[in-house]
Amino acid sequence: MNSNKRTTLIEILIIIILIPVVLLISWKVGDRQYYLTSVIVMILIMIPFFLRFERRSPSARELVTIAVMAAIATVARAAFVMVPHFSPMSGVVMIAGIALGPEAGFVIGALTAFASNFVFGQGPWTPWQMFIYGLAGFIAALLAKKGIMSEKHRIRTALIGGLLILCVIGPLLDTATLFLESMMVNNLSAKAIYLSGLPVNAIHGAVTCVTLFVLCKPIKEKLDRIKIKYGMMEGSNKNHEI
Amino acid sequence: MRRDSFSEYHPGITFTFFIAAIVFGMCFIHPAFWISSVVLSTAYVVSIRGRRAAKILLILLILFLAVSLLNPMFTADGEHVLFLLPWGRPYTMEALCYGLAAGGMFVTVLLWFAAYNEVMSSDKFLFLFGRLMPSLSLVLTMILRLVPSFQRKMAQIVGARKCIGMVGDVDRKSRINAGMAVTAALTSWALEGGIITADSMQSRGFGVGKRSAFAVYRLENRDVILLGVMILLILVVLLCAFHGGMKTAYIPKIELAGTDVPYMITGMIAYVLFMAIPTALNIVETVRWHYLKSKI
Repeated sequence: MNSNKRTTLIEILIIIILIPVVLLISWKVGDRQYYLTSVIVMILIMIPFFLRFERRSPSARELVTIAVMAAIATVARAAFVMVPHFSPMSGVVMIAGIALGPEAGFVIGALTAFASNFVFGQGPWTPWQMFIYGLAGFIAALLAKKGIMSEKHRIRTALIGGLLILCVIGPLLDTATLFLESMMVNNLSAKAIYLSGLPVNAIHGAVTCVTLFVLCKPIKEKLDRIKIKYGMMEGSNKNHEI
Repeated sequence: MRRDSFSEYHPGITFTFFIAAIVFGMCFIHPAFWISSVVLSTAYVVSIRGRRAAKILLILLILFLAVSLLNPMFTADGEHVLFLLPWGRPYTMEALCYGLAAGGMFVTVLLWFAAYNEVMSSDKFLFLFGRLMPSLSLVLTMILRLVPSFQRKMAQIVGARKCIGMVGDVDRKSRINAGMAVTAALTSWALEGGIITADSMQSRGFGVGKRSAFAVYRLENRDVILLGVMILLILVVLLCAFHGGMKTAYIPKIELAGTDVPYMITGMIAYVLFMAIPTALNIVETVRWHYLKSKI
């Protein structure tokens, strides 16, 4: 309980005090430090999620399940080498979020981005990608909790997932590019980046839509089966969600 | 791969160096600073990668040109107009200088990351953060181990499907369906295996006692000395930045902190010394090696 209270205190401290302070300093210093400021804010937003996960000291089964889902999201691209531009990573992250809850969804998304960058190379984009893919898993899980996204309504889930990529996740990735590549963040450069990102986001959204439509049901069922088969929902596990 | 003596130091030192170099690289827009950063990061990447650096340098050169020449199209401010763009917007010298700085800063950050990817292997990262974030770093370790194993398993599943005639490369739709089937099969296998791994971890005492790391690095005397030097140089650079040693404005008029500002000179020297640390260590090591070899 005590450590829970401390975690909550740190979260409040970060969100109410540290983030505005960083923004204020960046505003005062000027010099258009968009990228550095945004990366620091991203890292600060991620800390509460990670702290919560650590404080709970999750069981071995939960950790392994999370690692397996993140690794599948990372390698899933390899199953579609024959299809150009078909990267099901965001779809798999969303499904994992739907099946395992918002907290696990965020961790899976963020670690998937981080781990796949160990393969493709870490870069200044790493914190942004971790945050964005974490957000994808988190939002999908929240929508699943409200009953909006679930394996029972395949078409609705697929459409919402595709829209989420097109309207939220894709533009966020474009924002990272905008801050990273251009120092002149104004209407014109923003328009150029977002417009050139639109086709990429449309493909990304369509791919996620297809992935959710086809894979959401089987993967959710497999996870449920594991939970029943090994009694993960019962007392053996002090933690919730898995 | 060539020997990189900087990477043999304690991971904490390596990590501190890269964080500072990358953050400074993102911040300092003064031409003297970004140019020296580009030069020294290139030198380090070349000293680690040798000939293999050529490809990455070429790609970064193209990126540099693209970012620096495209950026000025998005602003019309500046006193000296070089020419008019076809759609009537002026392309100014000030904006071009600003674009060059943007491109240089972008490329130098990527160069430091290229070196980071060579030097900071995942086990070093996990050594540093394993104690701080035990659960997350364990999950990360497992992901890094599972990815190659899943890739192998995926190849097996594809092979097995081929044996029963499920080739699935007729058209796009059947290819996508085949990929989905492979992913689903992989998921069932992986989840079952994961539970067995977890139970095995549990019975071998997971969560009992302190976490240990694969590689063990001790903080030696040379590490402490180098860390002290690095922190001193970082503080000098920060102090000079605070006192306006890197004051720069490009638009609408180019105004730079010149050589007449003592803070600019001091900051510049400290910055160059700081960024030269890894390359200098490599050069010293090579010279010493050749010297010792010549005595045999």
